[in-house]
Amino acid sequence: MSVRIALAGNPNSGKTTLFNRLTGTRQTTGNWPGVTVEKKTGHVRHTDREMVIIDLPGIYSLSPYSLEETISRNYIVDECPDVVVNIIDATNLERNLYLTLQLKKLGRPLIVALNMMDEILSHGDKLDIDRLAQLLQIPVVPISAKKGEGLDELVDAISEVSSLGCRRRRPGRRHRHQGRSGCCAPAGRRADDATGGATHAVAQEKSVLHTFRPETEAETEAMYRHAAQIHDQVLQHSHQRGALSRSDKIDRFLTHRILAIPIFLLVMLTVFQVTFSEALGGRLTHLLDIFFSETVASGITRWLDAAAAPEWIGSLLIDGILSGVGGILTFLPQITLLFFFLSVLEDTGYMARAAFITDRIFQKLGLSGRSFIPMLMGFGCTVPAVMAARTLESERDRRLTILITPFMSCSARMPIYAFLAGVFFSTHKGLVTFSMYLTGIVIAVLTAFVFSRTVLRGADAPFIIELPPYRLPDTKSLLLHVWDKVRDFIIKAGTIIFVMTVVVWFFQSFDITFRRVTDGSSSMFGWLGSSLAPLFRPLGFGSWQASVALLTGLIAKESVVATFQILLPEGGLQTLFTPLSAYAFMIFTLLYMPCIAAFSAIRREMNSWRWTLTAVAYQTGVAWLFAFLIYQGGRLLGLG
Amino acid sequence: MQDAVKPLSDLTPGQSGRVAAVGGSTGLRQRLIAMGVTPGAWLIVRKYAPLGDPMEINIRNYALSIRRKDARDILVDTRQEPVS
Repeated sequence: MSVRIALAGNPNSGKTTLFNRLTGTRQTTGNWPGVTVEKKTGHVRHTDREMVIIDLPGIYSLSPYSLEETISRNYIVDECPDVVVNIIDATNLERNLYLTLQLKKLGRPLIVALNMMDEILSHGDKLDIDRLAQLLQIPVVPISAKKGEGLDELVDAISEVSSLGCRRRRPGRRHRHQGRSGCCAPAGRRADDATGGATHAVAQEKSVLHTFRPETEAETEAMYRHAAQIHDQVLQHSHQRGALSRSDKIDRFLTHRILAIPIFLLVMLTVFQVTFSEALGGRLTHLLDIFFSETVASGITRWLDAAAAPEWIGSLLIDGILSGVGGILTFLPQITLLFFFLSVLEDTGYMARAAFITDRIFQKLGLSGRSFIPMLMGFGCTVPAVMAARTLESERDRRLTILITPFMSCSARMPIYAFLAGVFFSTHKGLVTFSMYLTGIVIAVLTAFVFSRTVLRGADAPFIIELPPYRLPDTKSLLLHVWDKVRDFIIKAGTIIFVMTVVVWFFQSFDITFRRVTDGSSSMFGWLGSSLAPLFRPLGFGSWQASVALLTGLIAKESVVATFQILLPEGGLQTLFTPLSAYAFMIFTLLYMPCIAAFSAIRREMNSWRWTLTAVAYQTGVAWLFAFLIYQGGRLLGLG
Repeated sequence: MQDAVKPLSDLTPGQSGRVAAVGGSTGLRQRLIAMGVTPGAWLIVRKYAPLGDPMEINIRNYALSIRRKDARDILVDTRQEPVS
């Protein structure tokens, strides 16, 4: 049977780097049952033994006050891993040791992987490893995860400790929710009905969550005193306590009273430019677009002609699948670049500084500085932006951020503004487009302001974050992380989007009696558009074409333009819109419910149908209201 | 006479002391204590963010960012000097 190893440690201790170094690409990513916290599992072979490593969430403590802590603690107690490996940042020994002492109390075989030993040496500090092992009564293996040093020794130590073995009482069966202690829980530590203020620990069937008795504050303080004693006995600092570190010196500039904000804006602008402008990201996307819409499309046409295939197959492949799936895949370079930059910012430690610098603004909106990242990403694509909201600690902040992120005008909405403004506001095209971005931001800010004081009031989560030392990112970890996100994106394009495009093509190409139609107005979509049109009449765009365009926009916002191009009547756009109603239409497309890919991301991250539906209903409601106000207001002012 | 024990939020950059008490809501207190902000721990205020909030402190040899509002609940005894 394989050896199961749980990897536990503080955030920023190099846990992910160690995990990636040990397992390489032999990992699987999923969620912990019942919650949206990511669960990673990886495999290592050691001589003839198979080892499975479970990467527990990065945590500071094992108290049941956050999802991550509850998951970690329950995993170790309920699932009885053969070995727990606790990775410690040697440069931050005192605080890291607190978790070690807590882990020790759980009674599982424990090994300490003492990371960042290279930094200790380069600082000129002295750390007595033998003494540390002796005081803790735990094997301690010095490593440098980034340089890959000490990993063989670590795996040997794991192998040795695991062969001492503790058999799970009922292998393969879970024994939680049964009101008795797990095989390795010290007697009396489990209290299944403990109430202890554990806000997150809503016990669900199939969930890893259940409450346990937290330590008292006195116990925590005693443990910290113990950790400080150990620290003082094993580590000799070359500098005085409180002296400025290298990171503090870098922060003299990066979080400087005056320079911080200009530097921050410059960093964001650079990321944005490289990702979206024609310089790199935009150009690659454009090239991919040409590749799909010309090279691949003509290839398919030739091949179908040669095979004398019926017309509808070509239509399905090219107008349906290729334009849908291909259209999404063209964003791959931009997504890759965006995730690359975000990973670099995160791994170097700058992201925490960005949160530090901007927190004041977000505090006013009832959010934390960390909400900034998803909102920024929202200008690119709502899907990764919503996914990025995972980094937020409190569920309330996460929900609020996910709710407002779709108001950030994503890059797929850009063609809609360009198309309509080009026809109706040719002299003020730039200004009109800019006003869309601005409106989106204003609505997002207002929404956050209102919701945080009403529906999502309550626990104003304290914003306490560590500002980790600046470090160079580990290339291997970085690439693995980016690949992970890119793979997610490709899989999505190949599954959900693929199916949706087929469905849309079908409704656009057949009438209610399933006869193939050439005139869109008699298709099922035409029929549907006509039935929906009255809803949009008060907003100034009550044509069936506009309704259908908005519907197809749910698949991907770019399709709004494509739909208009197909369905345009003789007289052109002017027969469907006035300048005023065109502007109202643009506002509507900016604000109404995001595309299906974003919708499914929201559903996944909200982990609640109720919240997901509330969010899209709110977004669509706001869109309708604002388009209505603009159109009717404009008419009163005599603009229509 | 100025009181030597004061809320962390009243300290200026460069000022240091030992944590005398940690108050506030249960959630906040638990978070702080788990992060090592416990009575007796020595800390130094590094700076305030450019917009005046939050503040950065160094405690147990690492950097922590905390909002002024939350820092009000931490009492610091500024008479005590660090031990190397």
